[in-house]
Amino acid sequence: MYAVMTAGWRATKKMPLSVKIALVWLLLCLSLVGFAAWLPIPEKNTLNLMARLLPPVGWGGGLDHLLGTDELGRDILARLISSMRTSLLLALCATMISAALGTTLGILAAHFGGWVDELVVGAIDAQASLPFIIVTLTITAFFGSSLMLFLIILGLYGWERFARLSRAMTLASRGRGYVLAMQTLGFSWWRIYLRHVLPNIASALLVTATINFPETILLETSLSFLGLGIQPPNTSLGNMVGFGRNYLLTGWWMCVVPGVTIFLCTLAVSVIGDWARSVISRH
Amino acid sequence: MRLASRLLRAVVSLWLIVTFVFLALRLTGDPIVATLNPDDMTRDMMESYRKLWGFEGTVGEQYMVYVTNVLRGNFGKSILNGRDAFEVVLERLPATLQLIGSAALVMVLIGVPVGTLAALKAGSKWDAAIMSFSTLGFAIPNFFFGLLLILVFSVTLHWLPTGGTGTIWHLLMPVVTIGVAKAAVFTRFVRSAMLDALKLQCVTSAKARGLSGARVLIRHVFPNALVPLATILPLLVGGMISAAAVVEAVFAWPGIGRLIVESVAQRNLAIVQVIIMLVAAVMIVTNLLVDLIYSWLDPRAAAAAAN
Repeated sequence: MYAVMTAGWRATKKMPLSVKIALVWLLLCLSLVGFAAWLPIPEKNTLNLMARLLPPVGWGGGLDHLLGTDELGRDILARLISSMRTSLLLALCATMISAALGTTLGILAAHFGGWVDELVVGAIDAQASLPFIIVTLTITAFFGSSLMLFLIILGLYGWERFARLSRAMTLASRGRGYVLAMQTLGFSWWRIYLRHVLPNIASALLVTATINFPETILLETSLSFLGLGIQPPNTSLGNMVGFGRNYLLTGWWMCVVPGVTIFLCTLAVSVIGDWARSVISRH
Repeated sequence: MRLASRLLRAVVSLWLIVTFVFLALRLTGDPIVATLNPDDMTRDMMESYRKLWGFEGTVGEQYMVYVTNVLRGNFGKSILNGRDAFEVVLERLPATLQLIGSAALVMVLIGVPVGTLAALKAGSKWDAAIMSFSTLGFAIPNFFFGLLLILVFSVTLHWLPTGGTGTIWHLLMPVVTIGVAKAAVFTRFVRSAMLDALKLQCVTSAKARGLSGARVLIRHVFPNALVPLATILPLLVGGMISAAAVVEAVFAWPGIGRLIVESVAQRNLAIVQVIIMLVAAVMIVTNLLVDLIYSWLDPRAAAAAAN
């Protein structure tokens, strides 16, 4: 534990500035989401028709509404925090679903080989070649939109990356000494995969997750922007931009504030992911 | 022989897609209720449609009728105005092709020189700056980039129309939105393809023979970099289609992307199924093309695959 912590500390010292800024931004977002209830900001659904379309601080707005108000006088910061919670949580859950699904399928394909392998590889190719947003739109058209279905669809995004990676790495690990030793000792296959192979490919899977996570945010916010993802009264960063779009003339901040937030969140995760990949490939 | 097996695979993939769409339509419940609006018509009318579209009898019989109809280009009618769904989609095709084609041009015109520069100056400040811009371009959502352009060039400066179609000025912002975003991705691919090609022995030997830098680049580096770039063509085409769906909605561009978004909101299933099959067909053909291009560009790989 101590060794891990000192290694982590040494790693932060060598971090480029961009990675540090990205980490600070993500921590800020997470703490805003986590401590929203204790912050002195208005409730997100409180209407105040006397304070409609107020600009943010710095563009003529007051300290009452740091990021301004929308067309009904609701506080944008409060709505932003609630939307961040929805968008980040959805992307996180979806990435975990796709990682679990993809890794399982990849390991199964590598273990069984034969027609199982061919089936999984065929599915990987099919998934990789279809533009996923069109598939999502089609599923939404056929089955209607509900939060649960939306989460499942997002969870299906990107599983093929995890599958491809875990399949390749499982195949590669089979010839390794530790796996052969375990086999000789008579351990069961699932124990070898779960306790020994998986931890060995965990870092590569984590890097893949940092590619998948921002793309999932982009997919969710795009669909919510189009009005086909998260539906009111729930808010997501995407549908905030979608509603703000009607007020470009009178209240540009309504769409710029959530838009910039999406941009910074995806950027931060990508920057950290790029850095993590370069650190891992150096080892 | 190889071509025949590839063609067979493409046909099988198409057939699988048609079957999936049929099954998905069946899972939504009564397809007549789902595609038509039951409030607007009498029971007799619905029964006659049921007969017309072959939603009678067992699932197997229905499947046969469905596949026959698809082969004849009969995909049902739009619930909005009763027009033939296939016709409605075909009408929108030119606008989308114009948008995607122009965006692809922008992507290549930015991506090739900028990616080449990054590869030639790998590790330098130029390279770092280009890669940073590429990351920025990847992280910004298409729809937000489009709205920012509208905010700056239409709302504030009044230079360009906010959306619609008609003049070249209408085309400018949607093309830039897609083209620049895709250029960010494409630049990375060009850079890594060029880096790999620069390491080849033929390049070293060409340099050693004293050929000029430009000649080495054009005669030896570019042709070798084309091979990995050809393989990402389906990825780029798919990305363009996805981007068009979102960006057409932002700029009210009358193409297929906006049509699918509208049709999904209206649950106009006849239109949606035509579009998904069209997109699938485009992707399957693109993959087939890439296989052919690949073996033409790199006969060694084709020979290895044949053995």
